[in-house]
Order: sequence, then C-alpha cells, then structure tokens
Amino acid sequence: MAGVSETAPGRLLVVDDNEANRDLLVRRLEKHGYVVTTAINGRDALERLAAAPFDVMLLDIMMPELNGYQVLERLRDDPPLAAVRVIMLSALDEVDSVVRCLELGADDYLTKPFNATLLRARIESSLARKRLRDREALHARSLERELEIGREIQAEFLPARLPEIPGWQFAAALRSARQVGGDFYDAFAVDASGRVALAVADVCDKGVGAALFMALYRTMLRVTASRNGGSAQPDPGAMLHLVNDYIATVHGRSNMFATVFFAILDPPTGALVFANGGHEPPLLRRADGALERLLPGGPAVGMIAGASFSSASVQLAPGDALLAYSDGVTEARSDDGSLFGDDRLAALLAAPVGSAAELLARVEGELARHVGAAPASDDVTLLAIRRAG
Amino acid sequence: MEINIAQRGDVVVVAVVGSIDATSAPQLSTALSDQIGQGRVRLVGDLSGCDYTSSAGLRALLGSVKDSRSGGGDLRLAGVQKNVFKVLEMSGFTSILKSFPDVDQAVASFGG
Repeated sequence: MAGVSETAPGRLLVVDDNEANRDLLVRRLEKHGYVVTTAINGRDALERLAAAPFDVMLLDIMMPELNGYQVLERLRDDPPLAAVRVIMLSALDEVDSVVRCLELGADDYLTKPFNATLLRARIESSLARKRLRDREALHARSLERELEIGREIQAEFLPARLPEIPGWQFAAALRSARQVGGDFYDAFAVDASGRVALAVADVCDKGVGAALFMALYRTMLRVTASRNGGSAQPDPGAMLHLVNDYIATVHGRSNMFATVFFAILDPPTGALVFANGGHEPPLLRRADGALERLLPGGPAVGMIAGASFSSASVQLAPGDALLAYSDGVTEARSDDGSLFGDDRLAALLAAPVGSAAELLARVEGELARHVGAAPASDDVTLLAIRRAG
Repeated sequence: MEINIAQRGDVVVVAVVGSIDATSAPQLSTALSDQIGQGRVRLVGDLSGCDYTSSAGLRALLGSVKDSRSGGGDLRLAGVQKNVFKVLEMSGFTSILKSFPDVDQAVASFGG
C-alpha cells in the first residue's frame, strides 16, 4: 500500500501535441521542482497514466489520436486513473470547450499563454486536492482492513460443527453486519457426561474491540463449562458470575459487557438449566404451541463486579423447540426504518415447527423479506434447538 | 444525535437528542468524560429526546457512571423513553443507574 507523502515533489504529466508548448511548460515546471513527464497526444497520455502514478495532468484539448474530451471520458470510466487531477490547457477563445471539460471531470483550466504565477498556483491547488484524496483513500483502506480482521476473529470463534445427538436437532446462523459486531453462538459437548453447553451472546459496541472481547467471552465460557458443566447439578448462573467478575475487574477500564444466554442441556432427560445475563429472552415453543420466554436472571455480563446470576431450569419434551437470538433480529430495520420487533418474531412461532433447521429458515426468510435491500446495521444471530418427537 | 449541556447549580445536565449508535456513542462518551475531567461529577443524562440506543450507548453510560462515582459523584438518568427503558431494564442497567421521570427530579435527587 503506497503511503501519502506531503513533501515528495508533485508528479506531473504534460499532454500537448505542440512540441514548443511542451518544452516551455517542462522547463518552467522543472524549475519549480516538479517531476515532469510528457505525452504527445491523448492516447500517449492514457498509456503513461496506466504505466505510472501521477498527481496532476496538464491536458491540451485539441489533439490528434485522442483529444482532451476523450481522455476525460476514459478517466471517468476507470476509477484507478480517475484519482489524477486534471488542469485543462486552453486558448483564450475556448470558453465553451473549457466548460465542457469541467463537466467531464476536469478540476481547473489555464489559458495560453501561461502566466507563471497562475500556473504555479493552479498546480499547487490541484496537488493539495490530490493529496487530500490520497489520504482519504488510505484511511478508507485501513478501516476496511480493520473490519476484515474483526470478521475473521468472529468467524474463527464459532463452532465448526454443531453437536449431533440422536433425538435432537441443532441449527445456527450468524450473519455479520458490514460493521462487524461481537455476536456469537456456541454449542459443544461439555465432557464425557454427554451434556451440551449452549450459548448466544452479544458483546456491546462494534468493531475489532467487540470481536476481541467476543473471543474472550467465548473462551471463558468454554473453560468454565468444561470444568463445571458435567457436575451433578450444573449451575450456569455461577459460571456467568465467574466470567462477569473476571471481565469487570481485569478489563474494567474497557467498560465492555455482553448480554449472554447460557445453558446446559442434558439430552437423555431433556433438562435444560440456563442463566440469562441481560440477553433477549429465548423463546421456548412447546409442542402444543404454548410460548414461554427464558427471562434474564441477572444483568449483562462484565458490567459490574459482584453481580449475581440466577439459574433456572425447564424441561424440553419431544416436539418442543427453543429459539435463542440476538437483538440484531428484533431490531433489524426495513427500508422505511421500521423494526422487525418481538411480536413478529413470536408470531413466527405460532405454526408447528418441523425441525430446528426449518425454524431457522422460517425466521431468516421473514427477516430477509422485512429488511429488503436495507443494509444490516447489526449482527444477526440465531440458535434453534428441537427435541424430535 | 445532538448533545446539549446545561448547568443546574452544581449539577450538569447532558441532554441527548436523537439516536445513540456505534457512530454517535463516542460523542456522548466524550461529552460526559469532559465534564468529569473538569471535576463536574454530578451528572444527569436527559434522555427524554432519545428514541433509541444501541449497546454502544450503554457502554458510554457505563464508563461515565463508573468514572463519576469514583470521583465522588453520580450519573443519573431522566425522562427515559419507554423503548430505551426496556433496553436498560433487559440488560440490567436499571439496577446500577438511578432513573427519574424528569430532569427536575433527577437534579433534585442530588440534594442541591
């Protein structure tokens, strides 16, 4: 990636079919310390622009091969070349032509014969504009790179595959917003006991910071679940408490927190013990259509040291389905700005659920219809579990 | 988002008008920490004109309530709209931040 130098001499390209004009300009410009290259017509100019970077082009209008208008048209259709600033070289009686060139994207013009002071001033002004544009382009590229790093971290910390347990179905999806957030889901066997830990979380704010904390939360939850999730009476609330106090004390200065739904499922019995730290309540759809919400039993995790999180349990019977999600679902906006909303999500669970994958597709389909062409402002995360039956 | 700052005795009222999201939250953070940095640690966040906050806004509030308290003051909220209150309640912010129906009551709660 090329840097942007404020002190390097300006790189100029002088395009004129008249040799005497070219030589005069080159002599004057080199005296001022510019690095000057010449081209004898429009075609020659395009070839030189393609071969090496230039800051400012001084472009004659009437030339054989390709004239000034045609060069401007080619530049307009070629974004990498369009970065070069263009000053038209015109005769005094060419006002209409100059106007046409400005409309085609030229920045400025000079009339022949050239006044030395004016020539210098116009070139310096175009150079300043070019350097500003280069800085902006450099900044945009580094931001884009940062977003890419965030997305890579996020993707790396999602489970490669979901558990496969006879009699149970798991399905999950995470759609990253353009500006990466800190959502994640997880589903993994805690140990040889056969229990499965489930998580859906949303780390506050966005960007690489959120992605790094997402990796930290996910890792800490995995470690605590592997140590305690297989005990006779797993206590996910105690696990959230551990993670909470670690983040709030060790990383207190960052003021980061995450809303976390965390659960331990015992597949043979269908017992699900969960703790909800400030997260959107997952929806439990019973086989008969009744809807229950697994409400928060504590604040967002990592906010304040000493917070407590209560564990609660539900029994998943054959045909029951659980849908955990992040607020990127309910706060997804349509083109006209309206939110997807809790009610619409709940209404989607009215119809019988065929499988976890079918439920996921149902929600994603309705969400896509709602959002339309509007860009996603937040990550969208979904985790569906269903006990077959 | 727009931020308006007004002094009420030794309490500073920071009013937010509009939505707080990842782009505008740093502006709120800066406005609050500027006050705390100047020793004005009794703060009221007037959210009566705020129709939405993302978690980035909550993060800004969390940092400021911690900093103001460690300076011997507090950050209290006023006039929180229903849907913003729902977000505060769900994430447990209502258990750490005091919230009042309007600015007058929030200012008065500091005891003059």
